[in-house]
Amino acid sequence: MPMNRVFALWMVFWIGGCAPIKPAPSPESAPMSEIIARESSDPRRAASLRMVDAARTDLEAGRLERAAEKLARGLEVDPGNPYAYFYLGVVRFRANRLEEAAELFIRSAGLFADAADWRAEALAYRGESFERSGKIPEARGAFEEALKADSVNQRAREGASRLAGKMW
Amino acid sequence: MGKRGKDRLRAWIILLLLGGPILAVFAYALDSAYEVTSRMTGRTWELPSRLYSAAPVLYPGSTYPEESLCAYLRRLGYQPTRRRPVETGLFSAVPGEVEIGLRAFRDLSGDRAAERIVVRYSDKQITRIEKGDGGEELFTVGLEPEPLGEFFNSKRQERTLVRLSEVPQPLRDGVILMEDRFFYQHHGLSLRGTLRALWTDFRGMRVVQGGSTLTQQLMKNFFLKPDRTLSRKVREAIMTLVAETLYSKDQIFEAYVNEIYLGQQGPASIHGFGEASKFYFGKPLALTTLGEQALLVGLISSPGQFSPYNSIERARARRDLVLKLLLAQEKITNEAFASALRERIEPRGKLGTPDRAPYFIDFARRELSERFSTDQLTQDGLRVFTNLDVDLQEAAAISVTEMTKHLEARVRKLMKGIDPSKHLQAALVALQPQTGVIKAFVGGRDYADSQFNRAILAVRQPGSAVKPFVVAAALSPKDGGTPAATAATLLDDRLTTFAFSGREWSPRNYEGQYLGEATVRTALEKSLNTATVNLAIRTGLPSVVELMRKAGFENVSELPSAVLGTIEVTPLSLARAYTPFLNGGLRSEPIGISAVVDASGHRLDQRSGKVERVLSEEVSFLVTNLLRGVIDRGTAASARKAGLDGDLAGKTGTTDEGKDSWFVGFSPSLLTVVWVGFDDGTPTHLTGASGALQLWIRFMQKSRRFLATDSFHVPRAIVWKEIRREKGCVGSGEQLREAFLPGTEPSKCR
Repeated sequence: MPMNRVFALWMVFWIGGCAPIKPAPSPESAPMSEIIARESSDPRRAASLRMVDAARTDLEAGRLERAAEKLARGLEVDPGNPYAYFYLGVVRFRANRLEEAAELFIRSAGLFADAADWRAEALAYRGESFERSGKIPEARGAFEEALKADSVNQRAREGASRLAGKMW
Repeated sequence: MGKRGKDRLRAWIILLLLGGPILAVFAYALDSAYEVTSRMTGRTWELPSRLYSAAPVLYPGSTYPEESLCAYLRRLGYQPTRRRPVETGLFSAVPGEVEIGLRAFRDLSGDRAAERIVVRYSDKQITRIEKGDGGEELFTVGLEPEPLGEFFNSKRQERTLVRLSEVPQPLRDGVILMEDRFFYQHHGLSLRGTLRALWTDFRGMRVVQGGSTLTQQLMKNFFLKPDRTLSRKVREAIMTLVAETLYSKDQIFEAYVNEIYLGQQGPASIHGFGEASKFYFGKPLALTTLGEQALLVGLISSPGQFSPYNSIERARARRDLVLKLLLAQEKITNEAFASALRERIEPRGKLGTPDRAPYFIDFARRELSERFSTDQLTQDGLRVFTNLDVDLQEAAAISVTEMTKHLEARVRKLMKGIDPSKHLQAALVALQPQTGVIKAFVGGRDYADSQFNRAILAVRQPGSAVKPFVVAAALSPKDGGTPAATAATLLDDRLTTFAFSGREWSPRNYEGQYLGEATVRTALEKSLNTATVNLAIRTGLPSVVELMRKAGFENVSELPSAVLGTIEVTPLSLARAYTPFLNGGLRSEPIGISAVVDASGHRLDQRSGKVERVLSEEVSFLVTNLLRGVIDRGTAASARKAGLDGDLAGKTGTTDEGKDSWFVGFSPSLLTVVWVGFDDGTPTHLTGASGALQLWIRFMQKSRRFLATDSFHVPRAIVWKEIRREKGCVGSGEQLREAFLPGTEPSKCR
């Protein structure tokens, strides 16, 4: 085989093998202001999202109960706000109330109608909740569902890898 | 005994005779000192704990009515004014715009600074909120929570603590001038004053005059009964000297301004200037005018006589006396004096409205007593935050009062001979199903008449109100397979005798009416008993019972009659059981109290909603979709006739002879349970529809404007199909758009 062809093949394999699919950044990293701007046509949703945003600040500072209060108020204003459920799930997750967290994440996933990235993140968190509770089959199922929703969700990929016994 | 022995004995007797009283006096003084120090150091006052409502959150797009906002502000003690810009504690309302001078306050989020905001309305909606200075737009503003009530001990003292630095100088000067001019010079007792009083008492052969210094007055208020005896005066004097020795003048004065008795509101006594300024003027002490401060000072000698609630003229005369004294002692200027004299005396009532929700306060007290002692609740000044919505609560209370009267009149017409002293009762619990927080809570028709809290203590049979759980069990796929039925499944609805464990049972439909056959939907909408029992048998009684237990029903036996509601529930437990239908299959635990904070702002207790899976999201929606039909076409159709629109669902419940009339009604954001009946189980012959439903309708009519209008969320997996309404299959005829789990849709009619 001519050397140039060998070299070309080698380049193909090298690029193909060493260029993994770039995991997507977590949707949580997106500023809430973008989401609020997107959903501003519904004033209740917008007001509720602002409360979620304030709750995120408390969450980042470790003030779990204050975050839960704000999220509950957010749900009072807009009972169908998936972000409020999502972050309530995160609050429960961090408080090690894993069974509740798993339920809240599936609830939020059901409400994220068109936001596949958020749905996947919620399902991935659900998987982690099951994993931490020792419910491995349920965890695997949740990670698989998350990857079906969004194949590049990092949390789900890492979770699935852990349970498959190897890290990429 | 020799002379020496006698001398020794005499000495001992003298020692005992003298030493005993000396020791007694010493012990008495020590005891007094202990009382003074324990009262003056650490927790000085007994502060009742206060319960607060949820605070309204204002945001652009909210439909919170303008008039409700103004009414809320008034209840919080904000005064209406025409002047703009408004000052702190005032508000100004013109059509389409409310400007508010928000006070500084501390809520669960922390300290909030005072600020001025403008809330703009258009078409009954908030269109914009902005800061009063500069116009920067605000997107959410939470108001202060409203006090709902307090937990008192037997003394029932109302008090708002103030620091000495927060007491306006003219008020401090007024107190000194009127009550104890040489306070900062003497050592606690005024010898001249005491001697004068004793001489007067001696001449009158009884104790009549005071002559007390501020310190003496403080000791009197702290500990002692109001009786005027010589022994009491002696104890007071000892305690006064102790206090003056151990504490500074400023410490004693601060204690005085927080302790002095300044009036009465019903059974509760008003102590301290902080509370008195709220009681008489509806504002914090720091915001009182010179005239108002002088009036407060004038109350000290006789709050009853000089209260502006009793006589404006006497109050004015006393106020003016204080002002003249302040001017004479050059504590105020001529201009300030003249301006204060011109102030109108307009007592404005206490901040907050006591006992707006007495049954809820009882419920909260029960919850709190699991964690806090009575002493802590009645003395430590805790702040208890709840999520009770005062507008919904008012709607609930009025609805219960009005409708129980109306329904009782109907019952008495239908059934002669009911004891006239017996009254029809009701309970109403409304909660937000997503979080479990209680928004309205009424445990009876009249708390003054009966404190029995039916919302949590009336254990009754729910009747047909449990049927949705039978349906839910039937619609749930078993072990990942197919469900026992769908909404379109046809059920036998004829008078049937069922045999169970060697016994026979023949449930009857209401008024003996049978359809022959009915779909699951029709059976639920019309509350058909026989069809429901058939559905339970088809599903398997153990499955139905298991679901009911998961939903939170207790003591559910595996008897067929359980599916028709021969179990026991309270209104609150029934509300809890229904939450999965509105929360994607998750049951939420009801929460009355969200947090408890101590006087320093530390959180002592925090409650947050617990959720538990009962049903799948899809099955919960299927049941909710069926229950929509109960209101649209079924036993609760009178709700639509009464004008209630929007996405609503519900279920009626009736027990034998109408001993219990139930209705569970809900919108996507509010779940309400209503019970109506006599406490002793006397038949009312009211059904769920003719009784509890009517109360719910009244409640919804009054509260609808406070509720969001949205639709029940439809899970992605739900499939819709047009089917024949009566037959539950696909074909021509009256059509109905029905919801199904994927793969369970019915086929063509044969």
